[in-house]
Amino acid sequence: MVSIIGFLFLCLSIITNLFVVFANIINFFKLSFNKIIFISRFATIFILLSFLTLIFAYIISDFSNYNVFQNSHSSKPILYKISGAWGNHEGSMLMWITIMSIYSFIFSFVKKIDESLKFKTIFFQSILFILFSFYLVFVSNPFLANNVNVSDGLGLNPVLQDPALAIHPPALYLGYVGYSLIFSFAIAGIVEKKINNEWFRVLKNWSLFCWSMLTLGIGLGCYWAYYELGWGGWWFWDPVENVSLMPWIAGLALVHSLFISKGEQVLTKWIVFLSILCFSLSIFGTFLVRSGILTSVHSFASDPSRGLFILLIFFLITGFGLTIFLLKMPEDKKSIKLLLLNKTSSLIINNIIMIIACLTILLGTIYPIIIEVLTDTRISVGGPYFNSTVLPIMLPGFLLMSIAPSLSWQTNKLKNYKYYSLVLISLSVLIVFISIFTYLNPWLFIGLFLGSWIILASLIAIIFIEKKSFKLKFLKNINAYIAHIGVGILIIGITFSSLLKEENDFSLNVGEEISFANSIILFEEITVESKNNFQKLRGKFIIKKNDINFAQIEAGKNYYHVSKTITTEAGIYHDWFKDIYILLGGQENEKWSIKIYNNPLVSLIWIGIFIMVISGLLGVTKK
Amino acid sequence: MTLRFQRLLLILLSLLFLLSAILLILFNSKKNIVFFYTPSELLENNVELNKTIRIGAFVQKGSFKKIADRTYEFNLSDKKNFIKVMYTGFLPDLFREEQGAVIEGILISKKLIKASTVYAKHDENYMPNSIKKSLELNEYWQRKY
Amino acid sequence: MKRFIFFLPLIIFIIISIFLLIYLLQKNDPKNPPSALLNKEIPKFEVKNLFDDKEVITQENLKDNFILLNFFASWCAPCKVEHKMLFKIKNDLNNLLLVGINYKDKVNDAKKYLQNEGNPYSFVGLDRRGMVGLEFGVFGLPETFIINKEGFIIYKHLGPITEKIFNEEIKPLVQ
Repeated sequence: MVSIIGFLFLCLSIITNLFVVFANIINFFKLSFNKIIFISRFATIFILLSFLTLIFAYIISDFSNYNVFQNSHSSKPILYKISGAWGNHEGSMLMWITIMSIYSFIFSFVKKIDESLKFKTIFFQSILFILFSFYLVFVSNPFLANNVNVSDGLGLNPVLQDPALAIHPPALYLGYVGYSLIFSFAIAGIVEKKINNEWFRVLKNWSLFCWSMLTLGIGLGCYWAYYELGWGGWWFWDPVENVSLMPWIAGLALVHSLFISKGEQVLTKWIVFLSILCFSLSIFGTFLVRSGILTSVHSFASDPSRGLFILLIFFLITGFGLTIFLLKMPEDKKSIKLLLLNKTSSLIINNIIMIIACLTILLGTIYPIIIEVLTDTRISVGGPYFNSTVLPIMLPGFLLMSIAPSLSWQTNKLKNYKYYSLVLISLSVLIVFISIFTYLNPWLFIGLFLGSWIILASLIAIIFIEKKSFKLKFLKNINAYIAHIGVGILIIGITFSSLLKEENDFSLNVGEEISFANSIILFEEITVESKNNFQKLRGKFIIKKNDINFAQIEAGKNYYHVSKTITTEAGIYHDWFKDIYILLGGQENEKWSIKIYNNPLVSLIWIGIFIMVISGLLGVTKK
Repeated sequence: MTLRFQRLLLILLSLLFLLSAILLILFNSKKNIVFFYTPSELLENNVELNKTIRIGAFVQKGSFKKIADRTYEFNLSDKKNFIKVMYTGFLPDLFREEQGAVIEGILISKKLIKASTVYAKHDENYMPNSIKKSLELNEYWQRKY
Repeated sequence: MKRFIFFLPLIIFIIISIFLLIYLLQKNDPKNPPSALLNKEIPKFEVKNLFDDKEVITQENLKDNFILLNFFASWCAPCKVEHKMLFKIKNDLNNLLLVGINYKDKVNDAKKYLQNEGNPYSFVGLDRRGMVGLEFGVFGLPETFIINKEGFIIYKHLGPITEKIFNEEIKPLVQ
């Protein structure tokens, strides 16, 4: 019953959107723009109701709905019942179109935009909505009835029973789907020939918001892999991760290009192109993930017919976008001031670098597909390829980033260059000293140097701003510098945690001690406990340093009865400087196999990402 | 410096980036790409020794042996052929006999691989599609039951 | 030259799409349908006859014949839908023996159900506490297994058997 209501709301929403599209093409009711926009808001309300109905079906464990039956279980905690609604393919696609509709809903309230521009944007957004909702209805309907009488559900994948995952997909989708609005808005701008200062301002705010959300989503995903999945790391250059990184980089390039334009109408072609690219890459990512084309350690429901459908959507949208772009190429009203080393040229070089990095990732990700089609041999492109191509390509970009804030718009001069060189020299001396007295390999040297230089250079730039205060308004003004400080922190975190990582396997009896990374780890006991929907096996470890017990952690596994799966629960001791990360393996002849990692400075990664997200959001609210 | 000259320098600089990126990609695609085989394909193709490769197949029933502390030996089979794998380290939770597994390692002799990584599967159906296809031909792949 | 640069993204995009399309189509090559051979031996069980308390069958009795093992109950609405199909299966495939397992049901209700709807089964087992269902990993009703002469499960279907499933999946297996 609940599913029927949900499906009905979905249909109502599609009909409303169809109406909005047709009212634009043949307006036989002679409705004004405002009326049509008003009607389009109902589509959002309907789809939201539809999504809430699905969530409701999950809460009451309505197993007559096939989707609920497949992905839920009555003994699951309520939070995971709710997050189960988008923890599966069908539900997440429903969330995708719901978010898409919410974006156009909020956009319809934006003031100070030309009416026809707003109307066209909502028109394109409705078309996108209809395309994706057809996909939903025909190949991944979350409201299918269950033709089996069941007493309980198949249970949510226990890996997905995690608070980080309850917010990871919504945040990621807020980013991915947000680019649909950027796409619609850019296309509407060139079709209506309304690329003016207002267009730039609106595009800048929305693209900054999408980018911040995408950053948050990716960050949460990394956090989840690291803390919950017990993978011992947080980034693996897995295809699924790569496809989320591509729109992220393109979005970053877009944000920076809009910064160059500073509301003036320059680089229009490039900006429109990037807007199209961001959304294309988002759909492309969805296609690769959902079609099961990629071999990934992340598992997703996959189905070839779905793949064909999304490929079709991808083809239509990107093809349409690029064709319109070619036909209605916008012209710049002003020419940009391009000098050898001013803000503009450094931003352009940074854009070029980002696009090259993006293409490199794209190539690495689809290379196995191309090779298999052409030669029928299979290859896998893993972490080493990306590490040794993407990182060197990004390196000059990072260098530029450190001085970019202090470059001027009009001349080749570097403001306050004396201070910069002073700090640069002292920093180099310091780091050279450190590297002489400790073990520092070249990459570590580069990472440490770059990271701290970016932070210092941004701080100097902030110091030289004349009117300083701790008001929100001031923080909004310096949000770009804050974001760069975040990147600097992130770089240091990544360098240290990946290069100075120690890992070791041990085989221990209960009660045995081992020394690892300057501390002693005591394997105290093993406990087994039965919980509501799973069984808990835990090993208790005590970390000692200088005979003082300073931490106690539990590592183990959960066994879920319903889905008969085991999840690894990593035991993590976490402080600002390092993570001690313990995984409990199997037992053989009384001995337990145990893997211990020492990951230094991981906390900096999360801090860096957090700062980037916050500064992005600060920028959105900037006037 | 004239404006024109500065622009020329900029364009040259970007071309330089592009070129170095292409060189990096070309260089790394030779070095860092790992070929993926089923045991039968491995035996059919004459793969060089001491090369890093990946194998996707099933852990043969009864072949799993513990040799020493954290050192294991097992066979990966696609029903027609099998190869022996030696591995030292931490086995993933889902590693079991008669289950699919993907390993990466160095080919020591024609039928022996020293694995450096045994891949942790996120779920039971994790297996590259193309490998799955070859195994289906040998009627080894079981549909989710 | 300048024009070409603008066309470049479109060209790259089309090439990528073509590759993806070929790859997707290759994967669906109809010559290699996924094998549904489950090849597991049926689990050990013991079940009493619904109509006669003294008669008991075990996994041994199911060998030497093609068996369609169908779990059903009187409280299960989709089972009723499937019931007509079972008669058709019985008529069409003479070499297939239909065995029903009455799952978590009351004896009287089950008897009444078979009286009203007809009895297509050669044998009806009584699984009041769902123990046999547990052995078979029965999830919901109706659920159907096909067992070959060697006692291996060769097919499993969850949900009512439709005309299409019967024609496309069950028939080829048994013939």
